[in-house]
Amino acid sequence: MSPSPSDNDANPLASSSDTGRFGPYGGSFIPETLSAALDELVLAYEAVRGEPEFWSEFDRLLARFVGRPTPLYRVEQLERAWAEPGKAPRIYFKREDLAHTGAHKINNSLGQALLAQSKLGKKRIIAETGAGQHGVATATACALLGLDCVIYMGLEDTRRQALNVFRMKLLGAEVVAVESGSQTLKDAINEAMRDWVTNVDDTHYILGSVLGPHPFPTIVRDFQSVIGKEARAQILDAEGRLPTHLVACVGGGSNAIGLFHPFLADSDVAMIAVEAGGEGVDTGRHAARFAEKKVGVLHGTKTYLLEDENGQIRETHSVSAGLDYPAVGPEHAQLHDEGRVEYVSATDEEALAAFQDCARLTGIIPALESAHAVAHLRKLAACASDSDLILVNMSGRGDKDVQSVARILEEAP
Amino acid sequence: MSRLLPRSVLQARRDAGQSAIIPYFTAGYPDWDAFDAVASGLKRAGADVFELGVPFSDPLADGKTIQRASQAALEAGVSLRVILEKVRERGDDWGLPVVLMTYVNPIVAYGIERFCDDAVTAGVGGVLMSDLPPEEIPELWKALADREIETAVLVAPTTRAERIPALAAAATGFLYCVSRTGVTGQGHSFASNLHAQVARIHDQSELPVVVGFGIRSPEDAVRVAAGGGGEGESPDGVVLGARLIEMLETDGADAVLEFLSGVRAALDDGGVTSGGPGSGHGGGAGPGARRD
Repeated sequence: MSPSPSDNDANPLASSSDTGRFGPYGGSFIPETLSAALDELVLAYEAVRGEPEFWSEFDRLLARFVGRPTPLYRVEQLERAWAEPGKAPRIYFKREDLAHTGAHKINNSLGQALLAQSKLGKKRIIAETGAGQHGVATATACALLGLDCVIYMGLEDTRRQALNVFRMKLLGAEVVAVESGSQTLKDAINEAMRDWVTNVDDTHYILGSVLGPHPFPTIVRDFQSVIGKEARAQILDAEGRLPTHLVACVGGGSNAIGLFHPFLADSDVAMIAVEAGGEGVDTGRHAARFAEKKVGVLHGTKTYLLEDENGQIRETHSVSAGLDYPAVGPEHAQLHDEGRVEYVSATDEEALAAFQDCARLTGIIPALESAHAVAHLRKLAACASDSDLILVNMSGRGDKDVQSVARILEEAP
Repeated sequence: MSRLLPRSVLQARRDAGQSAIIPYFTAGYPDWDAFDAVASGLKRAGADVFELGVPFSDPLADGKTIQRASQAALEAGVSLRVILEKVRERGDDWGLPVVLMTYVNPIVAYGIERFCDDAVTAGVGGVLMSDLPPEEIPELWKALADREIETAVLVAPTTRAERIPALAAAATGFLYCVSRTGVTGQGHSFASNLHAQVARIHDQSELPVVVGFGIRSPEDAVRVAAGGGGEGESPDGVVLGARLIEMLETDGADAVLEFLSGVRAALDDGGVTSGGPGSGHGGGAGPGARRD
């Protein structure tokens, strides 16, 4: 199930993404100091693409350490609860919440840590984190492989996700609280980039989403494609047919790309990505990049982003730290323009309701990020037909969010 | 209004056997009064080119000082539009070629063609975009060339020799050699290959080569300007930024200008013949004399 080169060759987009361009998006907008490190990363990744030993080691760790394949689980309770009687679709969750460390992030962290150790020869790893899931996953991969690890996290996010901060420290990582700017994910990326520019000789930056300069959007997508490859085989096994709809939340967009990518050539499969609607896309306090249709350059890539009229990046808002980011992966920008993926949003309120309903009805507490996908599932199920087959990426579990949701519900009128 | 171009001014300094000084200030910081006071005195203090920082919300190549300055300037309403107006109004008083140092997104948001038109009208001589390599947004590089707005291009200590020709080809104003890996303003030592890197750039381009990042004192400036021994060469000028901004915050414009005059004097007096580390440049001639 590894993202081996032969699998990617079958995809019509593979050739364009190999150059780091996704239509007019992507590219490599970086300070010159990083250009050698990125060139080196391109070469290292090209080299391992043709190396079966690398992928068999990756597969071995995914199976024995991460617990893959994650289950594909039919959620009959939601079919009954959320659909019109007699029109219930079949609904499945891809259970990335059951992966070690509690989210899909480990797939990419492990792949890149392995790359850093075996190909780049770099002993020091840095990473940014928003919700803390990528930080925990990276700290875990570094503990496993014996690499030094520094995690940059916005001060605001260290408060929202205190449990994950402690978890990273337990795993031996140093956690740096970033106090600049909005003190959230984008500022953590700025600070990680500054570290990388300074320590590029001995340090690899494990970017956590399909963002940033080439080749990160391609590498992260490839490592996350294991989600969609498994899901595709599992749904065919369970139902004998492909899904009619795929649903995933999209912050930077790695869990969505990971699920969608192996289905892109299946033209009958509709794909829906759910952005953070925050307090509503009309309020300006949200992280719905496709709602405003502005294209610019942030963190090394050209893509849709949220900015003011002077090209300054806007502060975003979402109840979910992992979706609270002003830009989206460049491949999503292309998929949006091509109409291949539909981009919608769910508000904080809808996500919080889905978070609670999903827990109560199914016994699964979703991450607040994944709760955005569940919120859209509810809308989809309400107007579905009984021939629909909906597959939702349960990208992470909600243990990390329990405290902050409790706080929000206490404060609610 | 007149539009001064950085290349010819830097070349003139080089031809005189002297090292150029390029001060950097974030536009409108700490406030426009202090900014105006320092900007109007730069030429008299011995500066050659004015590097004018356009604040950006996410300055990932900058250290704490320029981050702080950028954030404050943005909160005070400084934008690319406001900066172009300022250059148009005051550029003649400053009397120096103005090079806008910016991240690329504010230009993209402004509109590439409109930006280039307005920059020429305002009197901007050059642009340095810290996150735009020559491979990206070719239409922007072309639009700048069409208006004869000079480009300054960064070369890093990590830049491999085979990449330097592409960077040199994209530059029309000068090449800016970064003194070490890292962000602006940190006071670490300079890269051991700094002067060798300057020599490699000189081999690839006739354009002036300046060095910046982390130059915090007249002694630093002299050490950088004097050049390395062996394979090394002297740059044609030095850039000072974060240190000047810190001084402007705490001591005011007069102190900054006095400091710059001191850098000028140190370069003119000591830079050429000083026996400090890294002074063993070819033949003992002054910085830039190599090309006379």
